[in-house]
Amino acid sequence: MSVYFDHSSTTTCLPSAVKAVVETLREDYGNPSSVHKLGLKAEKILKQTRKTAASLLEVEAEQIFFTSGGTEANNLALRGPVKNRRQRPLHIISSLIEHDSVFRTLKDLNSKDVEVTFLKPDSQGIIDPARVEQALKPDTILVSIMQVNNETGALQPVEEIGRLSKEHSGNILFHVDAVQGLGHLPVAIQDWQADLVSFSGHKIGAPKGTGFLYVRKKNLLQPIITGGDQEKRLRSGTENVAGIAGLGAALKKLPRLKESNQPEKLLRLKKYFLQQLARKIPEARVNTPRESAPHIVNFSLKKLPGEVLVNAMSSRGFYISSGSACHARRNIESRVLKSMGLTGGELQGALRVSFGRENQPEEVDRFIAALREEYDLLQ
Amino acid sequence: MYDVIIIRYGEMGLKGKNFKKFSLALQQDIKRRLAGLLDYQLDTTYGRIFLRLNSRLEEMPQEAVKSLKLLPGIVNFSPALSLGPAADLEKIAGSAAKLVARELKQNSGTFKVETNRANKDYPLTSPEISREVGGLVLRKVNNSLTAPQQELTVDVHEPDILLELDIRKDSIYIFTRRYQGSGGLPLDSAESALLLLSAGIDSPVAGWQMMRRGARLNILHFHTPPYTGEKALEKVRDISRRLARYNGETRLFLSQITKIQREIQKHCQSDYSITILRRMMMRIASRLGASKNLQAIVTGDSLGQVASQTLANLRTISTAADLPVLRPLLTLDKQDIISQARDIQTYNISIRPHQDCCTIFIPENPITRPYPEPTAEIEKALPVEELVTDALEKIEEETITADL
Repeated sequence: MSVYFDHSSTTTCLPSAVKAVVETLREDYGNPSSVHKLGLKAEKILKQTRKTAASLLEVEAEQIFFTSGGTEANNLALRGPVKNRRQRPLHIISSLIEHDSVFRTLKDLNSKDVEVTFLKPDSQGIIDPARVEQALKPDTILVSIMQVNNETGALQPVEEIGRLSKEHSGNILFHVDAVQGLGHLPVAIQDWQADLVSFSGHKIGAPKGTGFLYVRKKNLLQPIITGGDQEKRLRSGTENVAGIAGLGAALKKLPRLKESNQPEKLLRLKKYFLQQLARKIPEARVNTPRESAPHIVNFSLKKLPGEVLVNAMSSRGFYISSGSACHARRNIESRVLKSMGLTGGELQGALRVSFGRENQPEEVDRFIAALREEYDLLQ
Repeated sequence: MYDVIIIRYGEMGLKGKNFKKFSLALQQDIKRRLAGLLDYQLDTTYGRIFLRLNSRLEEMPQEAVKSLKLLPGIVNFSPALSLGPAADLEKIAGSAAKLVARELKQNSGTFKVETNRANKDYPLTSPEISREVGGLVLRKVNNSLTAPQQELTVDVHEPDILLELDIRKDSIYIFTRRYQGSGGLPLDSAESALLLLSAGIDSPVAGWQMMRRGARLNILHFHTPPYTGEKALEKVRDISRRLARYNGETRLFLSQITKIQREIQKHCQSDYSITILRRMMMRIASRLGASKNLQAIVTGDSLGQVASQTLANLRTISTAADLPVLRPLLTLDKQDIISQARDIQTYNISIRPHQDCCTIFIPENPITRPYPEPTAEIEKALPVEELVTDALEKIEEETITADL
């Protein structure tokens, strides 16, 4: 039996989500913009998912805007405000550990008129709120920091960053990329004082090509995709009704997480993994800090490039990532780990395992044993 | 507009008794490459192949042009208009004017007529025909032009448009274009060879050069799992699919050499490791090639390009091979190789970023003058025969079809 420890890359589509997708494709094929009965039925599906998302996040349904996924949600959250503000020059604060869909979008926006500060994390991979405070300027309009880093799992102090930003100026928008947090940690939009929060469907058991952006007030943004004015003009294009039905089904399965209600099973699994790793593969250097999401562990095995072990483990039916999935494909060093100060073998030999709700301790045992064998065999 | 494509072949026309065999091979390949692209009847006359189109074409389809340009054995080809063998000058000029007007497109231009009269029964000589038709075309085209700044004029030295008239016994052919082909000899006119394909830029071009001279290819790729992954392998398949456009259905052999690399790393001096690895590859390739009745090994080596491509290295590597090692790119510069790789459309696949061999096996300072004797001496630390036999047993074979 193969072992899937790559849930941060993507998750399997939940059976209830598959069912919702197929039923929608078969029965409710109408265009939500159509005025007839089929159109209304399709529109109702959007409404339901919007409600499910809103109630899970304790926000209003009209604050949820569907997108094609996390990348588009991040693009809208960053490009939308810049387009909306007449003010030039303007300033944006973000970090070196953001996902490419934030990092590269900001690199793209960066120009004579749009200055972007990318903050460095500490050696734990965590952004110090004091640094955000120091970086704030009179013309800062946006602060964008992720909730959970996708490579290391490091938990970012978004609540404090949100508070400091808003104290600096009520006009600053705060964006949080919560793609890796949803389903694993409480997403406390109100406590964070976030104006914009991005989510992806395929990380929580919904189909790929789904996601949404929480927008506190619609007039904070200009659309970046224009057309038929769907999603209250903020995101044109006929809605992915079947995908959104699947998203709704997956959202329904998510636990309502609070500080007092953590995903115990994942936490136990991660703890067990770290214990076994320390015991059986003591050479491993763990790059994931204590303050981290319950589903991600990043560690380095110095003597081999991460991709080699990913390939070796893949041929034995264990699926993990080196650094992050995108890096594995492009075969470059991880920007995130590099910004934490990792170099040489520790940087190149980084591996990421990420658990899902279905994983069992017995799979951890098999994985660690196989990894030990391959590492001994190959080095 | 066009009703025929004239295909001219080169040196195979010089083949005496074997001409028929070569010609049939070329016709076969044309049929294969144009399948689904053009609707035509093929007909041969001495020195030419004619594709008579079942319906007139306004323009040659781009895909058909691409296919013919890279079809071994073709020197050049022209889409043409044909008329009956007795057509008079007025009629010839009428058709020719249409072609010339089209080539003129927007701006003014110059033209010249060249006539080749194979049919000596035609009542005028070649110079006469050129002169008369030239005058008629000039008048017809200029009369038909509407924009005031446009004008067609004559330039017999460096014309923009060369109007050619081919007066033959069966027909008169009129054309203004000659597309350059790749030359060479038709596929299968030579025997088969084994191409050592990496995932790089050079080896696919070496393969193409062999196919251009009529050899059919089998492909052998060495990989080092888990140091190289499934995605790197898919890249090799993609390159092979591209080569299969020219080669037809292709056998791809995949040989794992992880064990050999590890043994070399363990037992041999590191500066000799690349040379020794390549010698092992030659042994595997020779035995595989001989068993599949392949006559030679083909590599993408280019003299001096990297440390393992010095003459001493090439010599020492070749001495381990039982089959001759052919290196069609030996004297080409990298830029020329890249330009050919673009022509055969393997370049964009080759530059995809996947390691084709894990860097951890590459020594800091590979030796540039590894002579055969010391190399053989160092190699004695390896169970050569055992490793080669083991690798041969584990070779996997796949069938690759063209990616079109």
